[in-house]
Amino acid sequence: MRGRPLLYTSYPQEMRLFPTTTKRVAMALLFVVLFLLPLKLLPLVGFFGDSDWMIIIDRALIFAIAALGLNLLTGVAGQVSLGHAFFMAVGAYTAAVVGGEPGNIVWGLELPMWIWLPAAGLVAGLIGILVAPTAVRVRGLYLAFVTLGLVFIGQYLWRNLGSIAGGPTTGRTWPPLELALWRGQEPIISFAKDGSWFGVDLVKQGKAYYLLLFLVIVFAVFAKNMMRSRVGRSWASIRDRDIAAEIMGVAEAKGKTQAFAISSFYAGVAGALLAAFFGRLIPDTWDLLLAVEFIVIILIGGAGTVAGTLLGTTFVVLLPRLVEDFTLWLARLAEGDSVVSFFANLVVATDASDFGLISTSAAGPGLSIFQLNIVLFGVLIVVFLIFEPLGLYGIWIRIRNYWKAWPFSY
Amino acid sequence: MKRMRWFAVVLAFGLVAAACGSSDDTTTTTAAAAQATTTTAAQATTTTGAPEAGIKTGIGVDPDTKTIKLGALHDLTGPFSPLVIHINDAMKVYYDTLNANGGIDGWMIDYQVLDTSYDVPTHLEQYEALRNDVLALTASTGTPTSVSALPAMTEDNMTFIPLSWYSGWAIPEFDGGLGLEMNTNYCIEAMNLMEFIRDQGGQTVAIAGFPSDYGLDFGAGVKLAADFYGMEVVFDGAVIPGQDQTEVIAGIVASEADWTLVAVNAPVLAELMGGAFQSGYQGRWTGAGPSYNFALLDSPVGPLIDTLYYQSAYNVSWGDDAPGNVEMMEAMAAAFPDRLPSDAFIIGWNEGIIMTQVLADAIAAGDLTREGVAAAVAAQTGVDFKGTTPDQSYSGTPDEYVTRAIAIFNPDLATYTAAGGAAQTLSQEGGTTGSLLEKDFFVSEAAQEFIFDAPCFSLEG
Repeated sequence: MRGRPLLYTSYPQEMRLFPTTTKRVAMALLFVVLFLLPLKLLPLVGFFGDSDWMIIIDRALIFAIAALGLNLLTGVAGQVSLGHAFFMAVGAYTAAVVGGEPGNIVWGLELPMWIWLPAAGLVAGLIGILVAPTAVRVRGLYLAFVTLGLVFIGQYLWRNLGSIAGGPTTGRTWPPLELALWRGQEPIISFAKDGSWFGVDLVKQGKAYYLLLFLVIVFAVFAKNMMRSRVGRSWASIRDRDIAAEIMGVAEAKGKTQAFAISSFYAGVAGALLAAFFGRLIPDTWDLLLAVEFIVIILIGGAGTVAGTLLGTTFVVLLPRLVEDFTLWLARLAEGDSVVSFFANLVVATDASDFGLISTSAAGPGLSIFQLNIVLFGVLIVVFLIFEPLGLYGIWIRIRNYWKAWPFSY
Repeated sequence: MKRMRWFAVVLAFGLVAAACGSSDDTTTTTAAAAQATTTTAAQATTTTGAPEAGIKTGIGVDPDTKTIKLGALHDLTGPFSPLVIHINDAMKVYYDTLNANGGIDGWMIDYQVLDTSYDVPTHLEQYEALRNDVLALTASTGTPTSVSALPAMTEDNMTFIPLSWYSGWAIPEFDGGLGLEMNTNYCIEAMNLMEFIRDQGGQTVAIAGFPSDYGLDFGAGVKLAADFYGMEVVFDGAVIPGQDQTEVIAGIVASEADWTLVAVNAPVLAELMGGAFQSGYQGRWTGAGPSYNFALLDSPVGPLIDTLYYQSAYNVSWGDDAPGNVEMMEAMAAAFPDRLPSDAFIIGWNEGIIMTQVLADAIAAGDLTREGVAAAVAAQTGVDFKGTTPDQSYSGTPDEYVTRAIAIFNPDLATYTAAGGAAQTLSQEGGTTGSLLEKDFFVSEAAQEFIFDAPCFSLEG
């Protein structure tokens, strides 16, 4: 039987996390690369270990946790939710109140991270359970609108609850990512200060990276396990045909409630991490755009798959920076006299009098890099929905299948 | 066959890696520079450059090409982008003009702007992209964003010009002396406005402001001045942007205050003035500088603005004949002949002047490192804005150097319309935003007596 990749002789064998040797090797390699990333030891991609890339990669990791949660709810259980930003805010403000420093108007209990981080998830999960009954009553587009309402209710609350969220345009500070035993004690591990671990110098973003990477792995494995267990199968059946699922004995209300609770737990933890990582956020951070961003991540990555969600997050979070760097690189190319420079010059405008589609200055002709990023974001949604509904994951599957059958792929 | 497959995988990986690698070489010089010197940014600030004519250089300064790299973190796509884009344009034109005229003692400025969308995470990410690359930040948009970046900027000893008029920027205990505040702050501005109101015969005032550093700093100044002059604050309402303002409007109307002082933005000002007038409110209005935009004259509240609003300003407006303003207008007209005038240009232009003065002093002292720039700031006794706003100093105690003057303008619809209204261009002769000078730069008694040694409103809620 060995060497026949698609032949499974038992159900557990087929359901294994990494069923083939190739996958196991690939995952092991990926882990090694991810582990070495902040140490700048890798050839060619060492620059990712610099703080300016690390900070973006860290945000991608935090977004990945939130996106994994939304993927369970929307991708697996089929409940379209635009309210993810709201649950992130609930988690973030729980963390702020439980772990933050009290001020003249803001509350804060200054409890350590091992309390505020789980508390953020739990409170968000509980609110998720409260919201779940509406999901049992409405579905599809209507559910999307109900959850959209949550974002607006949330924005009103955060702008007005000064003791929780601080001023509407100044926000409040969050506890740093530091693990201490109890309030007032020196942290055992700090993820918020530059320093050295086991003799290796790390920037604070690099330290936070390891914490976040660990959490992403835990949350991803948990999500994957949910999906291939009884609960996940019941969610998939509700997504695919809810009435048929109920007739087969799947408890629809229970399934949807579970999905909301777990998804909100993910969102709450991610919200708390995002706020603690950046230190100070204003209430308008948790707006509709953030909620839409997660829908986009899932659509672009590939709904219903863990790998797709992680791919989508990486792509969406890193894209703006890549576009910026690419445009600046083109602008530098455009300075020479070669043929390449000629074409680069056609695309990029470096000052107001220059012709070009993209401009490196904010005022120049054509789109500025920053406007281009916003436009690209929209274009990508349209393109993926029309041409690749399976998302990046679908593209990956096609590439994989091509090479699997190579050289007989036609 | 299997071996071939592995070969293909390796080849594919190699291609991807090569693509990444090439973009790395050309775009992130930061990475190479940081690795070449030392790992952490704090350590890297110690000078490494070769001495060029005896000048010590560090990060962001290239002694071979005599180039100084300055960064700007601007909100170019977010809520304040309509204003900040103008500020950014003027700043770019300022440095282009400066370079064309020989730079600062032969040193050229390389101005690099990154967009923050007024979003704290994005602001911090863009700061990371600049921190090992630039000598100083010639602009950092916003209070919450700049405050969030303050720990990192302190670590880097990064001098910056905050694009926010929060009173904390003038206090070294708050910003480590790194933030180069410009003009006066909201708190002192409010005190000056109160004296103006008293002189106009006003006794009772209503306050309507955003409950943020901006509105609360301003509100604190109003209350301090009310005590000083024996005036009365009869209403104090919090205006939350993007929400229904009926409650605040009703409060203003019911208070029957002689004057209403606002610390909001232009759309909200229009909403408040229009709503209160419709409900029969007779009082006059004034407010913190950012509350007003001359585009309001084109809106349905234009006539109300014309008769009831007095504009507080930190700088002269477009069309004024102060020498600094004329220079700015000529440069802007040459760069963008067909664009609309804006009162925000002068802000970006003056920020450029501050940075130029500080850098010139640092060059004169022979130290173009971040420490040298910080030392030049501490010794700075007078940045001359050529009449567009009072001189600015950064040496001594906050009480000694804080700027306390504002000017008051009376928006005039007829003047604005006669000059062509919204159809004006930068190259047009006699262009104006309709702001007629009511009271030239002055410091009120309350502001003069006020001992400024702490922010009027503490950001830490």
